[in-house]
Amino acid sequence: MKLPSNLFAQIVEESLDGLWLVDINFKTTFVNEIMAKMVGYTQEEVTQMHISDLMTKEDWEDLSLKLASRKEGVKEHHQARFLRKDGSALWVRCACNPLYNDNGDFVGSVGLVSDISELRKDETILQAQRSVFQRLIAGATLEDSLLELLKPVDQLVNNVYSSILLLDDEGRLWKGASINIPEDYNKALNGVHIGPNQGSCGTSAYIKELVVTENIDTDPRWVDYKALAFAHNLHACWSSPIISRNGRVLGTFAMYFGETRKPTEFEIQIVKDMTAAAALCIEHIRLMEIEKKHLKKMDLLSEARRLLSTSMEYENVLRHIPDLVVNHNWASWSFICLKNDDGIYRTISVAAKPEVKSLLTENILEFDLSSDMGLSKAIKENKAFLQHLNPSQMSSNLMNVSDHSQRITYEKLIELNLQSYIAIPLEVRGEVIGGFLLASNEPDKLYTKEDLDFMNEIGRACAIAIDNSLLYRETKRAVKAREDFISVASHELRTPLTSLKMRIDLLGMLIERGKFPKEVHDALSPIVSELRPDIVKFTRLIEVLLDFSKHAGSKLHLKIENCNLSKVITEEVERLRPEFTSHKTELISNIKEKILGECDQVRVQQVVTNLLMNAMKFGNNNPVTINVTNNETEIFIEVKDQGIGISQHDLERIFQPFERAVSEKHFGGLGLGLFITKQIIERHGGKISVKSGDGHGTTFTASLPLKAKN
Amino acid sequence: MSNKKILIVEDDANIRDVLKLALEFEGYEVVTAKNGKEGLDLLAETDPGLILLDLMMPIMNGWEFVDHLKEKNLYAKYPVIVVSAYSERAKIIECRDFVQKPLELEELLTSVKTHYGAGQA
Repeated sequence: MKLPSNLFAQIVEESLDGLWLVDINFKTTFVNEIMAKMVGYTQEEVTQMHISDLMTKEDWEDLSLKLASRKEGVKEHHQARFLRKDGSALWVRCACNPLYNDNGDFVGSVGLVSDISELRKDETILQAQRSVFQRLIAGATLEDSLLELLKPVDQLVNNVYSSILLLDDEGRLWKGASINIPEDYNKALNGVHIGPNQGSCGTSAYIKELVVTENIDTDPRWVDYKALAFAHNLHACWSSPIISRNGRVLGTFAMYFGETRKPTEFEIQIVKDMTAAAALCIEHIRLMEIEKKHLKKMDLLSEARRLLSTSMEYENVLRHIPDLVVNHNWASWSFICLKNDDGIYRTISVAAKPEVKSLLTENILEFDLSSDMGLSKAIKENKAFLQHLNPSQMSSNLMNVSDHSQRITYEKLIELNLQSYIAIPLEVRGEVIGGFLLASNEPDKLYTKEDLDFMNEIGRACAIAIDNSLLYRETKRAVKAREDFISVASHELRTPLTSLKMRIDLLGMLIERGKFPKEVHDALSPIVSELRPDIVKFTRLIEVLLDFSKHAGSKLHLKIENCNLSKVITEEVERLRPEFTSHKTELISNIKEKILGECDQVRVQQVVTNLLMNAMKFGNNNPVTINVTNNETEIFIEVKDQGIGISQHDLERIFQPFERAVSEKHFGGLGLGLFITKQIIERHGGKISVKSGDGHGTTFTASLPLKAKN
Repeated sequence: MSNKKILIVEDDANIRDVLKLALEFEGYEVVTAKNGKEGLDLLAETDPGLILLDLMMPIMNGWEFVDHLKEKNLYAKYPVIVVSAYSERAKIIECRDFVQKPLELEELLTSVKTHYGAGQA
């Protein structure tokens, strides 16, 4: 079927697609009106143009290869970029066919062209964003990511200068990334505060809205900056705040142009797309930075805590703190000093990165509290602080430093090129016992308030460790003093007690033998017989004290022998039976015969005595039972009373020295019996356990290995 | 003058005095020495029927005193009763009897009665 020519003409003129005919040399022979509009020319203008006139040189090199295949009869679809009359890019999709005359000779090509610029733009932006996010995930820096993000802007908008600025916590803007903008302009704006009349960027970040400046010259918000803008040939600018998901301004995205103009709809769209993507980038990087920093902190803190817990000798432990902060990249130089017994602060250790170490000399380690900076200041004022040093400024001020030693210090500091430092005093119980300092020589790693707070935390951990070890030392001293006292006291008491007892015995003997007149005899006799049990009690208490001083001081040596444990225990039980009788308490013993094993017989008897006397004391005159059994490896000594019992709360502490579960009023004694019992059993490699409930009596079970451990 | 002589070798004056007092009530003649050295010096002149010996003493302790007796072949001649607070170490000394401080006077006097004069010349 052949179309009537008038219908054909109608289709050509009314088509939504462009129609483009070229001759064999790719010179235009015909375009329809749509096609002419697409490229921004009139139909007549285009008709005389060569295809290469409508595109960049590079694009033409690409396309000419494809067009050449038309001569070979190839039909194809392809995408291409043309340049409009106004210089902007036109992306098209083109269906191309070769044209032949009636003789079948190749006479040119025809293209059916659709404008895909909008699609292509979206695609470009999406692709760029995808690539940015991939880079981010792969760990690209913020600047690289933002630069990648700006690239499509440059591709899609003609003659644009684009930039992303970042807002810091103090409300200042810093360069994030930029394309085409002169570096001088960036530098001049670095650190600018945001505000209501701070150009497009400073204002948009301040009011949190898009700021469009069609003419910088006449915009009141640009008054302070227009000279700068003109110097770099910038005349129009649209800037939008980059806002995080929680509404915080992270920075700005801006497009500048070299002439005064209005923004296109597409440019406003790009601004929106860009700020959204930039927010994600910045937030992601910030979160990563926070996480990294947090991990770095946790690393140091846990390492410091681990170190501090390794020893109670805090001087030895603190010595490693400078090493720790330097090795964990918190400082290029660090030292710690402690107050000596003579009250003078001395540096106990220094650590530094190799490049700093080579510059350190002895005198910088000397510690002089007269200085009004560094650790001296922190210690004198008991206040942690951070300071930024400015080595170049310091060297220009050096003339004014008259004090010789101070001057040497300054010169050294300048040589070390220290940029900032943190000084932390160590306060323990209200006294500054030392401090540490860390310094960085990296200009882009100045310490922040956050770093100071964190180092303060490290300082507190150190202070707590010091306090603990001081407490530990004091406790040890106190325990030692008590043990010494008990040891001396019990030995000292024993000697006069011996003669006292003998004198009373002698007096008793004389009374019995009737050596006194009847009157005196009758008066003395009851007194002396009352004295005797007191002396016995006194003697026993001193024995207990003596035993305690032996056990607490780890002086208990067992004399392990082979023996018949049944016999050893039975002997002791029978020795105690008279005491139970006079105490009106029944003593029931079930002792398995012939349990042979190894033990210190005297000590095992002591265990039996302690447990039985304990049961008698707290047994409320109810029967007390001792059961002795064994298995292949152990002997079990069980002592049961039916007395007042021990509450759960008290059970935990009854084996501690000087602990008694009951009130002092009820029962005498020193509270050492169970402690000693436990010591003896544990030295034998055995165990003691107790079961009790208030009012239900108490059962102690001691188990001892039959083969003693040595 | 009684023939029954006892030598007390004890550094603590208090204990020495009360032992002396008790034994004198029992009818013994008592000679005292402050340490092993003094005890040895008094031995020949006193020629006691029994020695009460403390262990922990300055200059010469109880163990050394016994060693000297043995050296001079006098151990069999003079019965020794050890009176000491140091029960564990006392067990490794050779003696007729051992009385642990703080002591029961009755126990001591019984032991003295038993061993007095048991020495072999």
